[in-house]
Amino acid sequence: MSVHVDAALLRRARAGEPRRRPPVWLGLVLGLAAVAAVLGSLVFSYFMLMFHGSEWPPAGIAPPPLAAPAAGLAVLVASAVPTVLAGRAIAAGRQLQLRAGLAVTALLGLAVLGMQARGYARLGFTHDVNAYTSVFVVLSAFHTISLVTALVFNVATQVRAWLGHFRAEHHEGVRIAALWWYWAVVSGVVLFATLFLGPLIDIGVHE
Amino acid sequence: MTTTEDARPDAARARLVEAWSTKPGFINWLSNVNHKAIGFRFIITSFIFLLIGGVQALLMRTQLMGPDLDVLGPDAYNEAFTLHGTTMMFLFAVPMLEGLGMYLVPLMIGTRDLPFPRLNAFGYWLYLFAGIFLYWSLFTGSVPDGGWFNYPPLAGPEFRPDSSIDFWLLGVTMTEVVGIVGALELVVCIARHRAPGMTLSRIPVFAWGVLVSSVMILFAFPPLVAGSLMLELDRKIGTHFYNPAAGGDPILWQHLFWIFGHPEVYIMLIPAVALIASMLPAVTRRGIVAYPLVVVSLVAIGFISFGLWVHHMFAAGLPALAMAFFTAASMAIAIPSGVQIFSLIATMWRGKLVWNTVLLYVVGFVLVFVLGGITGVMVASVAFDWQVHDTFFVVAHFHYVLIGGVVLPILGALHYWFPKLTGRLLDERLGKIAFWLIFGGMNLTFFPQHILGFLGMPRRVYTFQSGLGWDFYNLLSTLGAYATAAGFLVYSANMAINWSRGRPAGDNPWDAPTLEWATASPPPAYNFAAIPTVDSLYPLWEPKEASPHGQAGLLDDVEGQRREIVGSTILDAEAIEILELPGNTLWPLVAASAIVLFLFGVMIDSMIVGAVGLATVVGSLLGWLWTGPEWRHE
Repeated sequence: MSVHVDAALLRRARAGEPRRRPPVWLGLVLGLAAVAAVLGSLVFSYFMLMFHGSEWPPAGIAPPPLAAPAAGLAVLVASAVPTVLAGRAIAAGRQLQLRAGLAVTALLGLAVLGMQARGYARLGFTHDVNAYTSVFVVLSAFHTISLVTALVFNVATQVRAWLGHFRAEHHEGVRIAALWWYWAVVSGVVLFATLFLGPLIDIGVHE
Repeated sequence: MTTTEDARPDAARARLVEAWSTKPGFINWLSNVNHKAIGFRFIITSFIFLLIGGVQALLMRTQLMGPDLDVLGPDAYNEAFTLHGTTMMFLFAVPMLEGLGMYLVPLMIGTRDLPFPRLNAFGYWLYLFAGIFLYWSLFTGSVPDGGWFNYPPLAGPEFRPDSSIDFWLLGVTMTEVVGIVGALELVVCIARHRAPGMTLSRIPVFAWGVLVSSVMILFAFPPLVAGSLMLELDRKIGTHFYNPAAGGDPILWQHLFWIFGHPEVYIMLIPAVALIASMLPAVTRRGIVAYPLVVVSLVAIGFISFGLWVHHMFAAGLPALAMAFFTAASMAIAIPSGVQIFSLIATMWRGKLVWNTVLLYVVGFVLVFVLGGITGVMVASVAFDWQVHDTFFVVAHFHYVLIGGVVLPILGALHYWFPKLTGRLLDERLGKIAFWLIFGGMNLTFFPQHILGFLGMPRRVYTFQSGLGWDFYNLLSTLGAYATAAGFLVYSANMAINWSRGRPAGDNPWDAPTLEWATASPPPAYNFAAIPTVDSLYPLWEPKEASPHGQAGLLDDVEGQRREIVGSTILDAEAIEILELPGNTLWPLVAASAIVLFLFGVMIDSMIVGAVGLATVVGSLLGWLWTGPEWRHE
């Protein structure tokens, strides 16, 4: 078998046509897989500590609230919508909609951060009381950090959008920032299930 | 095979040099991101750490040469075995194998660089800083002494309140991050940048090994990152993850550590075995027997190795069902490992052996690794494990596995690829002397330790009393260690002497079949004058086409001073795009330095230093990622 490929042909074939996912995309997905494995290890630790104890949360600590975190989660999930729309807009060359979509995403993200800050303020305990409070605070902080990172990416992408760095055929930066935003949403869902629904599981110890 | 090295128009060659090379000067040296420069630095740095770890081993063996000696004393002995294990695992084995991967894989698969050169450079700087960070503890007097496994509560805030364990946790976490970033770009390189025509069944075995171990790294290193984070928080801000008095669980650390730690063994072993299989064709003059089975068993080992971790915890009091499962899995992994070994033996059996130093290392690997594997099957049984747990039998077992399965392949590989890296051949006579000293020395060191284990000598004791029947075997073991050290001296001297004075190697001194030998030694910055096309697993052994010089390869010229590489499809390696790589930059160095500054702030409990470090990390990442308009080349 012999293989003949022409560099000039490859260049021409690419110009003008919407780009397929480049190798950097695979790299980012693999990086996210490693970050997801860190989260997986933390969730594993949460449940290991939970089944290790006889009471969860331990005596003297109120069970976590459900309503306020669920509302925060709803806003977080909703923030994925303008992210999707922003990506579609630039794929069609609509610069203004891209900027608007990114801005709305950021506002929703800030709202979630505000609700989380309120949640931290009303916890009624700190990280250093016992293993439950430690794992609760550290896992929550993991999500806050993911969201802040996603916001930094978002702001950098907005600046680039206003400078006109993106075109219909060339907007890798938008896709990458969106991928990181989706990660902030997905990890938020996982951590809500762990921290707020997890304690509802009967750990089978009755005294 | 259509490299057109000699018939290139000089003007196009000059443009390739201009686009790809790094100009002399210190700042340019710091900003170099080429995969060969970075791979080379990984190899050299990790070799130095190998020698440092070896000195610690010698100190320990000297202390144990006879009963009641006082060379090290108990505290220094604990520090020595902690630093020895930590250095060999985190600062030598994984960085060395990734360094070899970074240097060799792009050459073997016919591309010009790794897909994320700046990330690669970042990995090197962080690795170098991690090593310095860990060893800085020697100057503070608080040296890590919790073992390479660093179990709490011994390593927790209650029993180790000084900063020794913090050096360990933060230093090791940096090396984990280095491993992860290196792994993800090696995966992308092998998946998306193979030369046109290099389908899955034509990927060199070493690239397969690097691919499998890199995917494993992506899932095995994060548990230790998470575990170390929690232990550091326990130590620094008073959380209670591992504190049983407040509902924490020290066994949690053991799980997280070994979910990392057992795959880690195979993360080192798989690329090392693949190194052996890649050198074998050149010294047996034939292709490897059962290549598809070798590849499938590499992948199988990768999967099974995630189901073994609990066999490190057989004595921790776990449910019987878990013990049965992990015993079965520990024995099952012997099957794909056996496939590898039988393939190597069959290849040697059917081939025409060339008895050079490289072949000695191959044979040495098979002998030593099989012995380590057999004792591995023995300790996989819970009943047997309880008898020898924490004795020198286990020390003997894993040194046979790691020296046989990792160190000998690496030494053989450095001998084999030294001509490619430097353009000079090593001396064969010195090479053979070094091999026999190391091979004989390590057997003399570790074989008696099996017997010491049966005689009941525990691990991690700094001395022992006379009259227990241990004196003679300990003396033998120590003499073996000195012989091994002499071998390493000869090996290093061989490299130092022949670095610039060795016989010129030429492009392909071993008449080897894979692409890295198709270019000059050392290779030019752009690797290949044109991207080759591949139609065989052993392209250089295919009959040469009538007139290779007439054909134009891909990217045989540069456009607008850009560093360009070919992107190809994952399965069929069909060229589908041309991608631009970033050039040299200092951002990776700045980012790595900023991370160290942040961790330094954590170490000295300074909010200000930590905050400045963190802000610099964010700023340098933004500077790094900032590009102009994405459509600028239209």
